[in-house]
Amino acid sequence: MRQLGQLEAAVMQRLWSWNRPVSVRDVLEDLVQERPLAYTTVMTVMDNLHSKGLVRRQKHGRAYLYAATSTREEHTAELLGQVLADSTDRSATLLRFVETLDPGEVAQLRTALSERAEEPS
Amino acid sequence: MTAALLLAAYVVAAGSGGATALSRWTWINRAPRCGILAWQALSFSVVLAGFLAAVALALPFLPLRYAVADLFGAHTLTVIEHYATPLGPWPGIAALTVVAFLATKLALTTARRIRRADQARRAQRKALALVGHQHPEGFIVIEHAEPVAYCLPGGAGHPDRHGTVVLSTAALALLTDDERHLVLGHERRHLRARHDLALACADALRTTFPRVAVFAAAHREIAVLVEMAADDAASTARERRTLAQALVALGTGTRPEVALGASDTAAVQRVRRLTAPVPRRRAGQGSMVAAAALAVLSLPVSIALAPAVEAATRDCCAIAPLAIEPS
Repeated sequence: MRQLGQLEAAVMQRLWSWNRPVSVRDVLEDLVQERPLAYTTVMTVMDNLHSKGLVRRQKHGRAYLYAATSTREEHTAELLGQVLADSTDRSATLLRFVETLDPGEVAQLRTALSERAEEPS
Repeated sequence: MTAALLLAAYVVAAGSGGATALSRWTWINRAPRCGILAWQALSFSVVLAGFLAAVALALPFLPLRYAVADLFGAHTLTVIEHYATPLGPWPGIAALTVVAFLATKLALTTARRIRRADQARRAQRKALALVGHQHPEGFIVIEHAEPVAYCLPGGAGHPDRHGTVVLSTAALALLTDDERHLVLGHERRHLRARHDLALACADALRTTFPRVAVFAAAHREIAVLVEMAADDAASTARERRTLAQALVALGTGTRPEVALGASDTAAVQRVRRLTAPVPRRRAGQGSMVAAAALAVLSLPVSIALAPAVEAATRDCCAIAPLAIEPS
C-alpha cells in the first residue's frame, strides 16, 4: 500500500513536470529508468489517480492520455491553506512554529531584538 | 450536604477565578513545563470537584456509603446522616444525572475532536506525499512562497508514528543553517513530548464547557507554554538569541491577507523571553509546583471526605446506642 502511494507520488511528479497529456507507456518508460515496473502496475496507479480526481484522461486512439487536473502549486496552496486556517483555532491538528505576525508586533519584536543585542549575555 | 455545597462553590470559584489567580504566577514563563502541569492540575481539580459534588449529594443512597464508612471506621448511619439533604434523595439523583450527562458530552466531544484531527492529519500526509520532497536532514520540504514551519504529530497506529516536520522553501531560504537546526529541534521537541495531546485535552474541556473561564484560559496558556517549553528544549543558553531571530524571521514573512484579528502576543512573549538573560531555575521549583498541584487536586477530595471524617470522630460516643438498633 505504501509502495503504491510512493508510486502515485512519482507519477504525479512526472505529470507536473511534463505539463502535457501523456500515455501510460510514456510514464512507464520514464519510471523504469529508476526501478523495474510492469505496464499493468503503472496502469493501475494511473487509474487510481483518475478515480481520486487527481488526473483527467482523454481517449486518444486506443489508449488514454493522462494529465494532472491541477498544478502542483494549487495542491501546495490547498495544503498550506489548511495549515494557516488550523493554526488560528489551535485545534492541535498540527503545531506551527510561529504565526504570521501583524506589523505592530513586528515593530515590537525588532526593538526587542536590537535593544538587547548590546547587553552582555 | 455541606460538602456538596462547598464543592459546588469550589467549582464556581476555581472555574471563574482560578485562571486569574494562576496567571499572576509570572514565574510560570520561566519554567513552562511546570506551568503546563499547574494549568492541567487546576483544570482537572475543577472537573474532579464537580464530579465529587454529585457523589457527595448522592452518597446516602450509593453503595459507596459502606466503603466510606468502613474506611473511616464510622457507622454507616452516621455517615448517611452527615451527607443527607433535607430534600431526600432527589438532589443526589438530579446531580448524578447532570454529571453523567456532562461526562458523556465530554467523552463524545473528545472522541469527535480526535477523529477530526486524525482525518485532517491523514489528508495532510496524503497531500505531502504528493507535493513534498524529503530533505536529507529528515524533514519534508514543500515549495511555497510563504515561510512556514510546522509539525504534524503522529501517534500509535499511524503509518508515521513519530510525526513529521514540514518546512516551506521560503522558510528554508529565510533561515540560516543554525536557525534551521533550532527550528527543527523545536518542532521535534513538540513531537517527542506529545504536546499535541496536552493541547487536545485542554481543547476538549474548552469546547465541552465553553462557559467555564478556567478551561478557556488553560487552553490559551498551555498553547503558549508548550511553545516556550519547546523553545527551551531546543536551544542552549547561547543559542536562544538565534532562535529568537528565527522566530522573527518566520513570523514576519509576507502574507497577502493578514486575516488574524487578535494580535498574537505569544510570539512577542517568546522573543522577549529568548532575548532576556537566561532564566535561572530555582532549586526545588519543580517539587514546589508538584506539591501545589497535589494540593489543588486533593482539596476537592478532602472537602468531599470531611463529613465522613467528622462522622467517624462523632461515632466514639454514638456507637453504643446505634449498635443495638435493628438495622
